[in-house]
Amino acid sequence: MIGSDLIHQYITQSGFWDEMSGAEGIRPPYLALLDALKNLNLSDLHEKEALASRLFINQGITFTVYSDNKGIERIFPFDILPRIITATEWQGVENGIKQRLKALNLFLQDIYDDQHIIKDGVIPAALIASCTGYNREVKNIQVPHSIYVHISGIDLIRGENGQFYVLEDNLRTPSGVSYMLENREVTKRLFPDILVGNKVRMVNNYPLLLHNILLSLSPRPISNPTVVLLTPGIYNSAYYEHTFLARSMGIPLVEGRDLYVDQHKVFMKTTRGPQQVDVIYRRIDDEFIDPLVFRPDSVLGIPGIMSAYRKGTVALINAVGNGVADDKAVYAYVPAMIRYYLNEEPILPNVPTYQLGNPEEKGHVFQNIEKMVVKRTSQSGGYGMLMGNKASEEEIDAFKTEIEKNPRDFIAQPRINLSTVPCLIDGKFVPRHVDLRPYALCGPSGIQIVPGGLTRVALREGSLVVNSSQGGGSKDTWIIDE
Amino acid sequence: MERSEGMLRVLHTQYILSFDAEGNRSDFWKPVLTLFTHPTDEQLKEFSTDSHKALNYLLSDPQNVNSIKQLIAKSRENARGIQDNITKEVWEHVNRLYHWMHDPTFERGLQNRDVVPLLDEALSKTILYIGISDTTMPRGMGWSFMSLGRFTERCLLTVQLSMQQFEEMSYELDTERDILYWRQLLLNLSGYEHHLKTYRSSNTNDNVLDQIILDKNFPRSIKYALNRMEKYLRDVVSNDVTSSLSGQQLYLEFSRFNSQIQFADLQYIRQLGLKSFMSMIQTNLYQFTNKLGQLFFSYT
Repeated sequence: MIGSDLIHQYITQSGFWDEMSGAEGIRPPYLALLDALKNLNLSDLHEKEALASRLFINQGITFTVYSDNKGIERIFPFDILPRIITATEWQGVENGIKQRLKALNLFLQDIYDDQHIIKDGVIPAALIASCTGYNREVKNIQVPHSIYVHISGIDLIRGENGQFYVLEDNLRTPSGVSYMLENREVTKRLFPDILVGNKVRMVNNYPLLLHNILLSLSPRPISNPTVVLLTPGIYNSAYYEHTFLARSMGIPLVEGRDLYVDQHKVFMKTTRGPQQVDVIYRRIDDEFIDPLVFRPDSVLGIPGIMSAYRKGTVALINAVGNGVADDKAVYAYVPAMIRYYLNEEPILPNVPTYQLGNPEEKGHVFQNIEKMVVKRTSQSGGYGMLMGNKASEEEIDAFKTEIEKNPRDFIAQPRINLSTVPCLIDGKFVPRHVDLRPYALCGPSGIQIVPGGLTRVALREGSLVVNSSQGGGSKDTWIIDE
Repeated sequence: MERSEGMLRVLHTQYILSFDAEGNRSDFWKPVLTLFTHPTDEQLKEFSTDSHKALNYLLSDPQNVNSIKQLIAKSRENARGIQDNITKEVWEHVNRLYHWMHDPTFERGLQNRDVVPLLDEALSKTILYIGISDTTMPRGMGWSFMSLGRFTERCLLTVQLSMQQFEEMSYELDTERDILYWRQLLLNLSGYEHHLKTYRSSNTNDNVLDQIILDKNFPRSIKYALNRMEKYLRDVVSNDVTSSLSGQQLYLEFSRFNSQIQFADLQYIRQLGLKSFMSMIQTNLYQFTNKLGQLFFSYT
């Protein structure tokens, strides 16, 4: 079978926005790609799949599955067909994310200071007080340049009409950027000619942009501040990404035990003696970062680091306490934040969200639960979710009982029919649901968003869950100039 | 062999970069073609925009006397002639590499849409040659000459690649360029990661200049290569049983030239002018290789 047959046999699902194929036929951005695929046969495509797997394995982009005491190296599934977004569509996404991040930064500054947004009745105080991500320990800490969210990944989805919606904000330690970069490197090998011919925007300067921002956040006004990347260690599932980013930026990769605090300053142990650290890009959650302040049983963090942070001798990237802004319950208030802080209408809409702490909204959700996705506010990665249309009666009843016990811990959203894109599965082009995580970097000179992002794809037929822990894979994302 | 290794690294970098938007440039392959070969105007026009044609020409075109295939063939002829001075392992590796390149599968690999596997393998084989030589060759005259040649080639490649990049900016060091401008040069010299780890100040031009000329820890810097050359030249001259005055003279001349680099700093280079400084190095290297050849390898 050759590519043209595969394309003709591609059948979209009704009720979903397919990004490649619409009522008018193939959408223009995909024409050049499909034209190039037409002449490839199935074995060519399988060869490309095999090459992609080899490249991921050779570069060590794997995770280990421990079974029968044998460590088996696996790669995260990668679909070789790229997803295409036009520059015009991207402009809207970029503007929307910038607007959202400005508001979220102002919210964090406000919520850890005067709390005007609560006093003005925009967000209930009880909601903030109940957020596990709200850290009283960081109240009134002055962060460099008043920037809290330096690195973020905003999860977007496209609804039935192709409209982008924000599904989730990730403002603590968003992961996956290495996959965005490596997916592109692999695609260069798979489709070298197509990539150049399609005027695809480059993403590979992300590490340089990130490094420049980290340097600019040094509390000490020196020309060569010491920047490190703090990892929980080799058993962390994102360890590959930590090593990748440290290498790409040329900064040391450290664990908590490599750092210590003396006189409210953070030092790194090196073979040449102690070296003061100015900026820490930490990939450790708040609760583990300082056993003297947060979890006392944490061996991943650095005792006393919060005292240095409070004194302003070290910058922590992202800031401590950001969890309050990407809490699933606070998410519903982001459009209100945008209006409150910026006096603007949100460019990117939220998915409608019901707070189950509100009895009226809870009643509505219970009545329409088969059309809803119910989520625990404290969980992520596709865990702690109930898909109303897929769950059994028993599962729904069990969830309702849990909700009644602590309704604040849950939100519900109407099930959005995520857009589909073509994937090569079992020798056919088939539609699968996707989301998009663009990565934004915020420094003293503004917000920069790399043109692209991580497209996560639900590889199981009919599944709307794109998380890698739940059978998801990824795709390269092309932003093309028209 | 050293030239092949350096050239393959440049081709690899250039080919990967050709997948990015900049690969659309009409003269994308021109700098590489003019650096390593002497193409006619027609060839330049034909190959500059086409990665596959450019690679074919640079790797295996029989018309191109400086193609990788030709270089390996010449290396094999040299190795064949000095088998008594090299180890069996070194000879066999060079011979294997020659046959691998002259096998029809090499040509077929070159016709593939994706040439990276071929470039990867060729590069690995040339690097393996360095490892095999290093672990099997006794540290006698053969090793010293081999190393002298290796570091001379390495130094020349660094000089030529750098001059090409400086030329592009008309040797204007005061025009600030960011790391993206220098990335290709650093990747070509396998020094990009070292740069990111070593240099933190924002004056990228000076940082790059420091790395490629003066960094004594960077194995492809001019200073490093010249240091190694001086060491191996000293070994050659001191082991020369004839103790010829010409050998001593060559060593003195080289050391005088090397001192100018060893004691240079960025301020000195700026005072002298970057172009003059680089030209001085290039000229001295050419003169040195000529004299070395006349002294030790000439039959006249």
